[in-house]
Amino acid sequence: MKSAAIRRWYIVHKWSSLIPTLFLLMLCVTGLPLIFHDEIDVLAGEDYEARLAGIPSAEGGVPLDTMLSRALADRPREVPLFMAFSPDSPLLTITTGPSPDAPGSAMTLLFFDRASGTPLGPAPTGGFMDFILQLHTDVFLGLPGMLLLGAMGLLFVVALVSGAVLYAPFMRRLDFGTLRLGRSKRTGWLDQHNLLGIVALAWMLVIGLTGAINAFADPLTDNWRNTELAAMTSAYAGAAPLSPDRYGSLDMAMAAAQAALPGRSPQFIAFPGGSYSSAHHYAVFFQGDTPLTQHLLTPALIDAQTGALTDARAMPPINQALMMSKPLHFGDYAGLPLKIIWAALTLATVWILWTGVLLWLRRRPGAVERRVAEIASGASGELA
Amino acid sequence: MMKPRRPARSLGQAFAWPLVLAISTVAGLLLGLTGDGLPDFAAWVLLASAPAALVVAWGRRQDNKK
Repeated sequence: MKSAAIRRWYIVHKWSSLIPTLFLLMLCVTGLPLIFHDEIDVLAGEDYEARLAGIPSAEGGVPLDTMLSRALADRPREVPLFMAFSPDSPLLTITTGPSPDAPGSAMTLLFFDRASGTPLGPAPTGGFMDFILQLHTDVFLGLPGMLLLGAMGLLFVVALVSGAVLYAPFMRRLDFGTLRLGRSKRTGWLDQHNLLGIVALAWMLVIGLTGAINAFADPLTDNWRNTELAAMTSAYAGAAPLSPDRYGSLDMAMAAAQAALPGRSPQFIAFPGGSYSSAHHYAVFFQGDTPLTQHLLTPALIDAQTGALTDARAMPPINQALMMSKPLHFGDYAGLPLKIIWAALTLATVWILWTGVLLWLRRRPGAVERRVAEIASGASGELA
Repeated sequence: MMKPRRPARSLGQAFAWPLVLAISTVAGLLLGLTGDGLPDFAAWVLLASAPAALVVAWGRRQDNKK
């Protein structure tokens, strides 16, 4: 590689790393406990799923209309927003709010045992893990915070690509895995930075890209609602929004949805007027029926007043990518060993960020050419 | 003392191991999504290749001044 090219890639790598470094360090530190949120919930005694016995709420139990009336009795003057099911336990959650388009901060999440119909009270909120999750998702800034972190994720991807490009000239005369820790500190940092970076590269790319897609979840969902969903429900385009007192039977709606998408497990129902439905429909989201497609949700749109099917259509590719991004980012889809590997690679990422900061902070004075020569020679000409 | 200069590696040589690890990582990530049981086990083994490479490299680190 010509030194002019190394110089260009070096500048790209430097700025695409330096700008997001503090954010990425925060994301690694907050991401570590989030990997183990299931295990932490169990320790905190907040694991309702394990305590409830009976038919999974996605398969049956007390009628949905009965469950909803119990939730609304608990939250008078509020309207239903979401009802979510578990494929493993009788846990059923119902979200209510002051209006159909209420923001997340105004929503209340209630837990129920659908097998017995018992209310379990509001979901525990405001704990340590909620704090960590908020910090990790949007640094407490809402949508602008999510978009900011999404942009940092994209810069991270640029840093990874430019770093991989610079790996080539650096390693021209070095064996894979070289760690020269007995020479100058700088050579040691360079070797650690290069080795950890190239070994964890594929994982970091996946985490960076899926994290960035997740950060753009709200605009992507809005876009689906305004285009695809609007097209599916175009017959209702001129009608005034359906008022909550005219909502029809949920059980009839579920039966119509399951007739349209048979053999699939429902994950949640979005009520009319919210982010995931039109102003006139129950949107019943079903999981795919194979392990690979279980994360891909397909909505069946049911007229909320009559209980008749309007349409059922797969989500567009970008929204499918968003749904697949969640498990790939969280690492929670293949048991505890996967989570431990996730944690190990997160720690490796922290060390890459840290050695990168050190290499920048402790650079000796001199023009960028010095750094370029260092990369081109694999730091071999360096005097300690 | 300068050691004799080693011949430069081709791009393919420099990226041989990184490519193996990247393919193993991505295969592990995707296999884990395809089901429980055996696919999960395969995912763990494939994904563990990256941390394992780091352990091996650490075992071969050069500590002494040469």
